[in-house]
Amino acid sequence: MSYLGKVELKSSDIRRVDVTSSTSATHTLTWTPPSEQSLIITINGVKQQNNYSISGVTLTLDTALVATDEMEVIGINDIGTTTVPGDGTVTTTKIEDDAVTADKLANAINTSIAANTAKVTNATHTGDVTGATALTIASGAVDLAMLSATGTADATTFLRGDNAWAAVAGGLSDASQWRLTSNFAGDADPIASNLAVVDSDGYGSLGSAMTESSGIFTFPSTGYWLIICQYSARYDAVGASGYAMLKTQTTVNDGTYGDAAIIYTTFESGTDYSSTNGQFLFDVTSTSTHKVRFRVDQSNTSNVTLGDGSKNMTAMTFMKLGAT
Amino acid sequence: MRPEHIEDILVKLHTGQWFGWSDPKNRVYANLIIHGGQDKPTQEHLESELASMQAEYDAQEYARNRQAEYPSINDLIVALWENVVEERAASVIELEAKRQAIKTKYPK
Repeated sequence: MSYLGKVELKSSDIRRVDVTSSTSATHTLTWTPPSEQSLIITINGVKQQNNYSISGVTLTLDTALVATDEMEVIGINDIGTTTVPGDGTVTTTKIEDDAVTADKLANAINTSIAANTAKVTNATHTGDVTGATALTIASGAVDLAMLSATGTADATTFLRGDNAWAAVAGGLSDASQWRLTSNFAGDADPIASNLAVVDSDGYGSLGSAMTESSGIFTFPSTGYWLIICQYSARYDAVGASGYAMLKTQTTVNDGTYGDAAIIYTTFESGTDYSSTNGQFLFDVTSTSTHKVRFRVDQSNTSNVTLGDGSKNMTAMTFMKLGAT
Repeated sequence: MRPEHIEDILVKLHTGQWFGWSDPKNRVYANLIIHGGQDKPTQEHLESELASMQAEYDAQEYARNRQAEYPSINDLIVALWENVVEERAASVIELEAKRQAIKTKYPK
């Protein structure tokens, strides 16, 4: 017999057994008939009826055959058995819309669905995202750590439109002021002591301040720094003129200092006071090699450089104008 | 300038930055610090020197007052020239009268 479709999906087939030269009443079939009615038995061409029984694959005739008998047994194999689709052969289109019920799903799936439904409709969320139905971001909840911006967020940087933290280009970022806190007579090469950050009369610094050690000033960061000096002196010699000078000395190798700026002040005679100021613009490309100090030279050892702990007499101002 | 503070004495003892103040806003002897190898002067010495300098300064007050009111050097030269070269003594006599009046006004 030929088949249409896949052989593996057939529900039944027709079997036949021919028996000759047998004198037995029992015979073994090649299949298991589901019932007596599924068999057509003929002996010598005569159909048999109600004179046999089956049990499993064993056919038992009420009367044993004689040797000359020819028995033909025809039966349908596996009548009524369920057609079982092969593994992995049921496609989505084979399933009717809205036909799969919750009972047909795995319990774990139903549990997950129930849990997710509860999150949306029932649970009250707290923290940065709040709400029981529509979820909203709480006021003041978004801090810098939640941003994806690159760079470093600190007191000197701002968030740009390209999502990067960056320093503001241009404008003053650092400014501080130091003063000489005590008078001294004669020269100082350099002014190495009695220097302090101004701290009176509403003084305020901007950004990072300079540091000083033994008269050597170190910059807190690279950049273009404007150095402004204010110098005040008193002339105590009698009957002669004189001068005093303040030198701004810089180094670019942390060793050799040059006179970057010199300011003079002169005296007519006798006790006389005088002040002057000067500036120098220093391109500090390295904070470890670029430093500044200040030196005083006097025409007379009785000249007094004026310093005061409460007001600026001799003072230095450092302002960072921008990045180098 | 009349010395008013022991710092005015200190700057006359040595040159350079040999001293400072532990509290620059309160420059009293107790806050005086010595940076170099100099000996720290005693408070009595500094105060004595200050008093001495103040007395010396005050003693010269008459001179400073006279100096401020004396005829100028230019006036004196012109008067001398007129008296010596031109043999006209009027200006010299006038200026000398002024000088004597100032001296009387500000005696030693």
